[in-house]
Amino acid sequence: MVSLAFLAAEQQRRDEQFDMRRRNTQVLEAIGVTAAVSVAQNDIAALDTLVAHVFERTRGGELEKLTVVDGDGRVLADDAPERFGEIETDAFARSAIAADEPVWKREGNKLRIGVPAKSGLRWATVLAQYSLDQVNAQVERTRAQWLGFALALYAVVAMILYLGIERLVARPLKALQVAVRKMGEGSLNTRAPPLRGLEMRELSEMMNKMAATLQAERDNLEKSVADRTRELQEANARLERLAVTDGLTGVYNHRRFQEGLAAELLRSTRTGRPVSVLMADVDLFKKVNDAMGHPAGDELLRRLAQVLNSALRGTDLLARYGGEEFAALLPETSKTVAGQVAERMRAAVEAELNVDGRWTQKITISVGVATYPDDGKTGEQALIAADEALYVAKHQGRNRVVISRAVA
Amino acid sequence: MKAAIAAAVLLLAACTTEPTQHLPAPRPAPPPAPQFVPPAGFTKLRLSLVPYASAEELKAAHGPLVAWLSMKLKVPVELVISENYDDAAAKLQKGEVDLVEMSSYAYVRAQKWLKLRPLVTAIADGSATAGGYIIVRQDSPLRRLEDLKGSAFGFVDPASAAGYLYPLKLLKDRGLDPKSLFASTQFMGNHENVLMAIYEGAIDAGATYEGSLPALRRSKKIDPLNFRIIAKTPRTPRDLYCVRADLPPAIAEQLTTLFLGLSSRDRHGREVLAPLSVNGFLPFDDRLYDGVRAAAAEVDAQ
Repeated sequence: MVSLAFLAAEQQRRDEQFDMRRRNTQVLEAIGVTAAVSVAQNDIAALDTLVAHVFERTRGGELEKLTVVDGDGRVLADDAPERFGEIETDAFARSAIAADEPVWKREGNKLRIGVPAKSGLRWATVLAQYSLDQVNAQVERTRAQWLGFALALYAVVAMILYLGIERLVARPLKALQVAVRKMGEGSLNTRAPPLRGLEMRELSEMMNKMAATLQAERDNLEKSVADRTRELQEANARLERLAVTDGLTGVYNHRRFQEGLAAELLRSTRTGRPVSVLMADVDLFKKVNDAMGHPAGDELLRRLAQVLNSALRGTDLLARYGGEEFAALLPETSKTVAGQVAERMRAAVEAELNVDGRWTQKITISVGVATYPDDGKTGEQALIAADEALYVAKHQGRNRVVISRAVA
Repeated sequence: MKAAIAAAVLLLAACTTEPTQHLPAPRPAPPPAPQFVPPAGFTKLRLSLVPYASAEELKAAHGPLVAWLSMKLKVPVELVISENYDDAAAKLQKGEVDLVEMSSYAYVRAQKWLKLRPLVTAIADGSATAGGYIIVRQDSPLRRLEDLKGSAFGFVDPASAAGYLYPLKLLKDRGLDPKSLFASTQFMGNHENVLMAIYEGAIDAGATYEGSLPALRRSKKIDPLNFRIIAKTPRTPRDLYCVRADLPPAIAEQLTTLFLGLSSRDRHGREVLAPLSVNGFLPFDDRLYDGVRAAAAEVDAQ
């Protein structure tokens, strides 16, 4: 566009100069005719008047010099009268005098034109010099106008492009970016705003679809993970229960009892408080089994476990120790208190299991009580002591509590 | 296109013999002039001339003008021949004459010491201005200003622009001192006398204005080819007509109207103007004389 401005200005310069040359050549040829008439008549006064008036009328215009010379280049008339008689010797004047047609030459910002002054014969030559300043100034103005126009056009186009890109690309992209960032941060329920333009709209729709799919999948995943976790937790609990409880009676098993005992003994070592153990056995259980069958025996064991458990304190631990034998772990319990607990157990069994006549014989238990560290330096010794006390209880007639006296 | 039209107009202007300077064209048709009634006490108009020709010739040339003015002003018009330009101005100042025809330089000089009222400037040979020439005989060996050294030189009048002021300025501009350059100088009184003295060999060279060559051919059938121009001086305004400042304005205005109404383009105007070799008149414009004033100041300063 800028080069177009220069090209246009240059073209205008050529056009203007061509026009100026053609126009002034025509004028000079006409002046030449009049000058020729005066020279032919030897009317120098008329020639002077012609030159003076033509020059005066065009003063302030392009014409800078106007001269009529004879065949020798001698000045016959000039806009400056004092130049009369001088000889024009420069190359251009010589070529103009020699030429039979108008000649012209550009010298810097001057245009020189020479035309023959003819009236029938060639009588003289008219030489003129014009300033190209006005033409050049016009060209400069044209160039400036073109440049200004080009710059204004640039500005408008740039503004339109900027606004267009801002509205059609930058702003939507920014909205999209915000949405995608939120999605990336996990807010999959975020949705990109509907965008203008086919591609933009498609892009935002794809993005939203993707987010929706991801959200659905994540919800599914979370749900199934939660389900699996819950199932696992339940299985774990079941397994744990199975591992530490007795399948028949629901109370802790032998292994759990041993663990509990070991833990309580450790604690007792730290605190110096006693731990008591009870060993309880159903009296004459074999008879029940024989008379009423194993299922009844099993039922008795289950009932027994319930009663024993209810007779114990919250902190105590009841386990099926094997066969019809139960063991109870009484943390931080002295031998005396343990004896009381044992007695409460025994009494509960006697009272609760013989009210409905369910069993073919009277159901009672014998209990042996031992206390760590009084009755044994280890858990095993304490248990043996309790077992021995139980044995003593059986021998003494059953349905009683015997407290170990190993150390006491 | 505009420029082409302007060029055509210019061309037309240059080719016609119509006056071209400061003249509104086309000239508006003068409104039917109200009948002029001479003011009380105005019984005659005295027109002063410088003796640029013999008294008989002057009277013959001015006869139609005098008759016409007399008819229009309804008073007799009297011709008074002055000795020279300055004398004409002096007569005007003393109230001895009412109307004076004077040269541009005489006007510029007179303006300094006397009040006068310029009316119109003459147009002749198609122009309100005329250039000045330094002339020798065709067979003279003198070809350049520098060749004038030791020559006998003739001026017109100390109050002549083309015949004295500008030649002096030209010589001085060329670094030539008129006092030492010439063997002798003299004032010939009028342009024709300068040419005749050169023609007859009384002087070697002289200064005159461009109109004197065709004038001499008209009056004495002496061809301009008998002379050679060796230098030219700038154009100066032609003669102007002035009235004394205390002349009743009504008369001055009537005179201006009468002069401006004369044109060599119509039969009646030609009858009045042809003997004077004048084409018409231009309303007075003092700016036209600035060049003469500047030249006078320059010459006086030296």
